Amino acid sequence: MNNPKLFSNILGFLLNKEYEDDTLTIETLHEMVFSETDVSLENVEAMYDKCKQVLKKAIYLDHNITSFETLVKEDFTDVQQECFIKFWKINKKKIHEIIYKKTRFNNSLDKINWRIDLKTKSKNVNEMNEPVSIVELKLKNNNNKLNSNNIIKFEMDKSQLEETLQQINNIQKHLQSKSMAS
Amino acid sequence: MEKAFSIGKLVDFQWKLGVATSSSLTTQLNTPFISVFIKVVDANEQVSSHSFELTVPEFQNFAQQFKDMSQLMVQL
Repeated sequence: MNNPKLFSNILGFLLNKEYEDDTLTIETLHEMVFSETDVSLENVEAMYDKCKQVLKKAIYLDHNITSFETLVKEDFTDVQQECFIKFWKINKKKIHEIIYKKTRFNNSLDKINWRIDLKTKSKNVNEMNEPVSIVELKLKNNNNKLNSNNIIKFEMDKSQLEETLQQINNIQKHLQSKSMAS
Repeated sequence: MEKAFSIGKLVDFQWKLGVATSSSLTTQLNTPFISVFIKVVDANEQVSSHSFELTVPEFQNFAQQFKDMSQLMVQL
């Protein structure tokens, strides 16, 4: 368990399983990574749980590197500490994003498709030559499920598109003024 | 235009910019988000409302799509 590669494997697996909804079990981790070693399944489970608790706490308190170092100091060997700190450095930002998305209870936007048409003629109008943009938004709920109610289609003529774009530019201005734009 | 059928028209576009500050998972969430609320009326005059929430990078992509559309539209 003091082998950095094996320990890092536990951390990588933990990230996938707890935060990225991977459905693999710890038995699989044991089989895949520890089958050539004398580490028992129980030991892997115990280490997994220990790392899970530490990570949960670090996330909850939003630890920076220094406080993370203090957090792992007592319960882990030097090699393990080094791996864990490196893991936190690399993944902190990504985990933060995942954590936000986990508590996004509203829909999110899964996909946006659009097409621009030039309407030339219809049954009642001989000549139109009116460009329209057709937009399809696919929404996704927190369970990652798409359903047909969540597909929105609409079209906009030039002036409507400009109005909408104006709103979008307003949002961008607000983001910039609050230095939130990343 | 009025008499030609359409697949639905955008009739309302509202937004809210907020910051999620903390949650059950972390005390320091501090993540800005944009909520969008839109109303669409279809060919049968049925109005439907939808809302969704975007992170800043998601919103930037959303904004870019509208800018791309607009650039192509003005050329027509």
